[in-house]
Amino acid sequence: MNPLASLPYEWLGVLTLGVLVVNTSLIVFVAWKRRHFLGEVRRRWAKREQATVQHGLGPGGILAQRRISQLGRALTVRGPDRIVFTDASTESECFGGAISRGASGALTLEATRDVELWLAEATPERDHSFDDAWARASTNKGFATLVDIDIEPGTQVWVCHEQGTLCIATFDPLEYCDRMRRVLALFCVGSVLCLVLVTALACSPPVFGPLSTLGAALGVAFFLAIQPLGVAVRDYTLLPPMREVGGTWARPVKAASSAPEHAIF
Amino acid sequence: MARPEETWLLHHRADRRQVGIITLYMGVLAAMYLVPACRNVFCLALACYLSFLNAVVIHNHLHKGIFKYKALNRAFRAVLSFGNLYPASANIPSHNVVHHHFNDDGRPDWADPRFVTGEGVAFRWNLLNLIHFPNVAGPQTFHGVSRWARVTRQRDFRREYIFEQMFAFGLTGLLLVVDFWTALFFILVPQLWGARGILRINLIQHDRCDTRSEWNHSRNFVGAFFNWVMCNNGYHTIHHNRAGLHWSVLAEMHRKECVGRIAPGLDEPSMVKYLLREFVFGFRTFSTAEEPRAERGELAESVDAAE
Repeated sequence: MNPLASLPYEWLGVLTLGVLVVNTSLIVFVAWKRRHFLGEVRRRWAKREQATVQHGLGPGGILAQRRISQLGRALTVRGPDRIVFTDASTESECFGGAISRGASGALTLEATRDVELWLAEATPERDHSFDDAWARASTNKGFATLVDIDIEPGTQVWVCHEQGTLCIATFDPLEYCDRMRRVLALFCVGSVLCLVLVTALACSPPVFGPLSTLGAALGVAFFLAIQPLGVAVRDYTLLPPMREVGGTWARPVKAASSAPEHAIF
Repeated sequence: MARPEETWLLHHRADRRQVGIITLYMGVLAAMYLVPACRNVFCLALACYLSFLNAVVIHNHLHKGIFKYKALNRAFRAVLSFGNLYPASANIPSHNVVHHHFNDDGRPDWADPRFVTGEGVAFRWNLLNLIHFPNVAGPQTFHGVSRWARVTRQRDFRREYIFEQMFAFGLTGLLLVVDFWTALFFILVPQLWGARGILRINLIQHDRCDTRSEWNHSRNFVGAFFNWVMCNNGYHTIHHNRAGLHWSVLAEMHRKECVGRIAPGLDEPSMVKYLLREFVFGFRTFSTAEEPRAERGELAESVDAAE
C-alpha cells in the first residue's frame, strides 16, 4: 500500500468504529466482572446472622468503630464559606461485645482489628469550631481531622465470618449487593444498546450522509461520555468499606440579628 | 544578565526543538484538514506521533514555561490544549502536584497503575490493561482537577483552565461543523491518540515500581534516539527527584545521580522491546484474593499531631 495515497473515508470509518467497539467492550467487561465479584460477596453474606447489639466493650459501650482520617480544604469559589473533606485513610476495629439473635440467643463477638464494617452512610459530626477549621483549611496543609462512625447498642446488625475476618453490616448486605448488581447490569446492557444504536446510525445509508453523520457525532459523544460514566458506576458500586465518607461543612448560619462571618462573594 | 542558554524569546535555546515539534504538528493537522492529498497514512501516522509529543511538550511547558513572556506562554498553552483536546493547565494539579508526590491528600495518585492492574480489576492480557487505562485514569484525573480547582488559592488557575477548554473544544467543534468527517478522522483521532497515550505512559513508567522508594519509583527508557525525539522524557526517575531541572540536562543527571542507585531492571534500553515483552506478550497472574479489604493501614501521623 502506498503510504502517500489518500485514505478512503470508508476505511477510516471502520477503523474508528472498531476503536469505539473495542473501548466500549473493555469498559462493559470490567463492569460485568465487577458484577460477578459482587455475586461472590453476596454468596459470602448468605451465611449472615441478623442480630441486635446488646452492648459493646468499646468507648461508650460501642461494639465497633470505623475511624477515618480526613483532610479538609477551604473552597475558594464564590459562595458561602465551605470546607470540603476527602478521606486520607481509614481503619476499623471491633471492640468486642454481645449481640442478641432473638430466639437463637446471644452471641459474643471477640475484639479484633480484622473486621470489615458495612456502615450506613452518615453525615460526620464535626466537633471543632468552624472558624478554627476554616483557618486551617485555608492553608496549604489543610485541616486534618478524624471522624468516627460507631456501631452503638441497640443497632440492628448482620454478622458473618469470612476466612477469619469478622464482617458486620448495619444494613442488609444482600439487598445492597442485589441493588448494586442491578445497577451494573443496567449499565452494561445500556452501554451495549447505545453502542448498537450509534453503530446502526453511523452505518445507515447513504454512508457519510446526514443520518450517518448524526450517528458518528453521537458516537464521539458516547466515546467521551462512557468513560466517566463507567468510573461513576464503579464508584457507586464500591463495597461500603471502600466508599469515601468525604463531606462538605458549611459555615453555620448565625441568628437573624447577626450578619454571617467571612462571606465570600 | 542573560544566561548562555537563553535566547531573546526562550528561557532555554533547546526549547526551539519543542516549538518546532508543535509547529510541525499544527502544520500537519492543517495540511490534512485543508489539502485532500495530505489525507494519507503517512500524514495521519505522523500526526498521531506528533500528538503524543504535543502531550510531552505540555508536560515540559507546565513544569517551566518555554517563553520569556507570560502572554506567549498563555497562548502556547492554548495551542497545546487544542493539540490534545484537553486543557494543558490540568497538568498543574494532576502531574505537578499529585503525581509528583504519588499522593492526593493521602489518597492514591489519580493515575495510579493499580486502578487497572490491581487484583480483581485487571485483565490477564496486559495489553488490554494498557488500552483500558485511560478509560479510568482520564475521568479520575479530570474529577480530581475539578475538585482541586475549587480549593486552589492560585486565583488564575480557574480562568486559565476554562479559557483553554473553550479554545480547544471551541476550535475542534468549529472544525467538526465545517467538515465533520475530515475533522473526525484527521483532527480528532490524532488529538485523542496523544491524550490517551500520555495517560498510558503513566502505566508504562510506574507499573510494578515502588512509589514509596526514593530511587525505584519509576522506570526509565534510556535509548539515545528515543530520548532525542522525546525531549529526554525517558529519564523519569531523575525528573521525579529533581522536577526543576530543564529537560535538556536529564540524560547527564540520570547518569550522574541515578545509575548505580536504582534497580538495574528499571533502566530499559528500548521502549519498543519493553512494550512487546510486558504488554503484547505479557500476561498477569493473580491469586484468588478478592478486592483489597477496606482497611488502609495506619492513621496519618499528621492527624495525630494535629489532634
